[in-house]
Amino acid sequence: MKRTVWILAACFLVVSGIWAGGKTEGTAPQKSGPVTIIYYLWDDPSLKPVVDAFNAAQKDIVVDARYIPSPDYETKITTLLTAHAEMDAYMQKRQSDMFAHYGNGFIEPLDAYLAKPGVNREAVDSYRDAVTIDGKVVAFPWRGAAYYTYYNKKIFEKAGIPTPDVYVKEGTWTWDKYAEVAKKLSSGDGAIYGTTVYFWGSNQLFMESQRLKPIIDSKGKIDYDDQIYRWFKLRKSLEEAKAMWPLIDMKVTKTHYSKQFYDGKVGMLLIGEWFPGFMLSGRDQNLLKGFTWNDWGVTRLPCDSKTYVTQGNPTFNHVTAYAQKKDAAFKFIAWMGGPEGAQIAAKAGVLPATITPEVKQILSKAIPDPQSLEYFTEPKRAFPMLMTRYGSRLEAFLNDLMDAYLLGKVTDAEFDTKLRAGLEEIVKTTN
Amino acid sequence: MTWSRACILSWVGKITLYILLLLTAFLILMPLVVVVSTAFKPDDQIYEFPMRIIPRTPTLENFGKLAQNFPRYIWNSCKLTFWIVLVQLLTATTGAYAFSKLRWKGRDFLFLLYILSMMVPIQAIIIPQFLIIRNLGLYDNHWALVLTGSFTAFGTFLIKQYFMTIPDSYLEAARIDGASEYTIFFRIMLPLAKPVLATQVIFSFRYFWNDFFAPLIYLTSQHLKTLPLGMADFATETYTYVGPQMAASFISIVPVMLIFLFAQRYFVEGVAAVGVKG
Amino acid sequence: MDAHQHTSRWIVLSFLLPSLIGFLIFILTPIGMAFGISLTNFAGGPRFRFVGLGNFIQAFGTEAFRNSFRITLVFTLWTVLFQIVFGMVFALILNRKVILRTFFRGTYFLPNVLSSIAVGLAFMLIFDPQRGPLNQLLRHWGIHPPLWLSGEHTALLTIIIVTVWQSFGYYMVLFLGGLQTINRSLYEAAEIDGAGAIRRFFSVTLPGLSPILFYSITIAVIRAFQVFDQVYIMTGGQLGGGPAGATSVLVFDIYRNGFAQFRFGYAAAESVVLLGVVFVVTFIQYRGQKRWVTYDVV
Repeated sequence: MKRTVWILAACFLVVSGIWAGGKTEGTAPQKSGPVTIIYYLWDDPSLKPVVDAFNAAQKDIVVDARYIPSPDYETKITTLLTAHAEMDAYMQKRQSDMFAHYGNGFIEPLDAYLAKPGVNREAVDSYRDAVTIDGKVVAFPWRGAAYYTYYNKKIFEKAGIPTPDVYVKEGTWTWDKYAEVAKKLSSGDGAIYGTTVYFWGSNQLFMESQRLKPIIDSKGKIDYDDQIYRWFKLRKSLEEAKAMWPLIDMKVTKTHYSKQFYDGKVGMLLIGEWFPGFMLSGRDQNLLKGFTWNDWGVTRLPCDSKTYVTQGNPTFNHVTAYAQKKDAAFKFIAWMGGPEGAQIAAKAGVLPATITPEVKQILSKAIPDPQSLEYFTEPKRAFPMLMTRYGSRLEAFLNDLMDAYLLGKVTDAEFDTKLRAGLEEIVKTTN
Repeated sequence: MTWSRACILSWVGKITLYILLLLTAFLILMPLVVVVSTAFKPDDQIYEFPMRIIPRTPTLENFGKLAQNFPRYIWNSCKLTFWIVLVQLLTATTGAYAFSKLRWKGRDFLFLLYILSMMVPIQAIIIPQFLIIRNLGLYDNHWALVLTGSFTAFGTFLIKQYFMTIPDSYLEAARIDGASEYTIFFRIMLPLAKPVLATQVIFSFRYFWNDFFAPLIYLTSQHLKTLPLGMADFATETYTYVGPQMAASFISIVPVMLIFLFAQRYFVEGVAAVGVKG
Repeated sequence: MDAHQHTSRWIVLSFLLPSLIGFLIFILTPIGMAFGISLTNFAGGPRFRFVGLGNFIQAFGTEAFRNSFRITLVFTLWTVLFQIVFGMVFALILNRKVILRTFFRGTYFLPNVLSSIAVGLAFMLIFDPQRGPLNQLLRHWGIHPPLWLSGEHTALLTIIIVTVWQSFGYYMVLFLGGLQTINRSLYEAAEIDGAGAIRRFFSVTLPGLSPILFYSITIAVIRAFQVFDQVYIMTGGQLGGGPAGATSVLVFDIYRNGFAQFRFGYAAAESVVLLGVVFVVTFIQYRGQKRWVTYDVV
């Protein structure tokens, strides 16, 4: 009896060990007639109108949109893909995850589909660097990419200093100036913070990104300069001066950057191109406290160099490699990234990947004044940070490093050692 | 009447004791009161100070916000818990019978393995278990939870211990009369084991009604989610809706509390029995 | 009568099969696979290779892992200590004739039947550093309120408090059961010998309870190593782990590495370490019980 048990157990072990690799799914032939595709995305309020609009605009493809709550999206989509759950297309939330997804064979390369006639590939071309792996296009952008300075004019008024766009025009909107302004705007007791920058690892790299080189390149070479440390130090000193919203606090109390800004507690918010969409929601739900729709503006990120560079990753969609209906899936994401999708994006107050005059016209409803609109839509170089296969690990590492640094667990003296050690470990241990 | 020193000390001791008991009871019950009370408060009154136990303007709006998804979640929890409890009853009783009343080679060794498996944290094997479920094509499916939850070392142990207290002579007599093992199992063992079966049902119910981790890993689709997963719904990226969260917690806690109220005996005796016989 | 010494193989199998299937497929096989996967760099897809002990070496060399390990140990130590002590104290109290005994016993056990998630959410409200009732009360009394879950040094403490709150009743009931089994006459004998209350406790109660104590400590340790729900819900889900990873217990690190970063091979290695530690600790206790656990006192 005992032996039988062992033999049975051994069989199971062997069989499931072989099984662990997973089955490969075949692709069914494409059918004609209304095709339903399963599309995964997160519950960002700006996304639902796009799906609805697509379904309304044509009858050949029906998009069955599956929403996963945003806080869990990255984990869930990983799990779903690993489990080969039914999926034709999905939106990528943490852009750098595309490397791991591609490496695991979950993403379908799009070059063949893009070569077909009648495809508007402007979005792909504008953001080529961000959506290519090993020379193959793997994603179709939907949202454009850029980080900006959003500011609350009322708070500037109260402090009696010019708004950032004035400095931008002068050419003096540098990081030092930014720190100076932040301090002047703050009330000093945490009631009003001069500025806020969210806790994502990527958001701690503005300065570093502006030198236009990845920290770890695709070959694993590490190359960074003191701009990383400079930001960490700046953040710490601003937080200590109560000029910047404490990172750990916002993490633990889960105070979203939108709430920080809505509540009128923050003078300047450095965040990405989707924020006007949030402002629209804020206005519609009467969440703006102490200021109105006309009291905010958008301008460039602080930048030390004469040539303006910002940072940003387009938000893009993938076609799943094991999908049953790849053609239909591609049609959908191409539509989304093309001029029609761009208009819907604009209506939702986000910067689309494709900018046309119509798009600008629609965007003007989401941006309070023409000058801000210009800054929002001007052509600019946006460096895609963390877009290598080390990106996801790097993001997590920077996150942890910032925590440790702010709490004093990593001192200024050890900063570089810790940073380098962490980077080396990432290179060594990523597939 | 003179009050001796010992008398006074004993009184003081007693009073301190009761104060301690009452204080602890208060600390235990207070958070639960907060849940119940907050569930009925409108958003702006939740953090008022001093905190009012009875809301100023009680409202059902938090429950209203649950109306969209929670009936589904509750149904899923009920359905899943029901099936898992049933399946566990099946596997635990049959296993227990094999280990207690049948003699076969390797019996004690296998039982030891069962017991050792109680030490294995689910999280240590969740990744391979997930892969197996995936290969069976059962991801994002309630079956994943039923199958992975079917085995209970603890339940088998519990029932086995109980079965062992049923005299072998009953069974021998039945065997002599020509009864098959199945007849013995269904006609003799199970009816006699009602108390421990009740305990097992209660333990299973409590565990799976509240299970969060396995559903977290194995379920993604909204329409399959269970109540514990649903409770985490209201913490979105931008804002945490505390009112509905508390309403959801209320719904999770109340059934169990009611069952506990009426069946306290079974819970307590079950736990104590395990300890004593373990 | 020797006719049924060994039952027919098939009958035995038919009774065993229901539990055995679940055990083999979903417990034993995964345990084996965990060992297997831990030796590779499996990341969810078809491309992976054997890396031997690489994951283990890396784990012990990683700050995050060592941190998780340490936090888990600290957490285990304190929760087990308080759960056992409180459980014991209240069991002793409720073992006597106390008014409303059933009420108190039920109340203290009650949190144990509730969902850890619901409990976690409730305490998040109560412990909210700015707006929660507890800190508001402390401020009102002029005490500087701690940051609870927001504070690097208080986050773990908060989770410990919540865990103990939820579980000490369970151990109390275990001890109550054990106390019932101690022979009254032993107490009387001790009293006649002139032993005071404290002496009686150490010479009669404790030895009598030692089997249950052993069982309780073993269970408590195993459960402490498995803690996840509270940490997940109270420290922010997949982004969580507390301020500067202050509450990132081992199981949470496994979850994060495996399901949020695809590093299944590495996470499996962490799981194996977890398993190993639990087994070692339990084994040590099992050995130790021969020394200090006295059965047959009854």
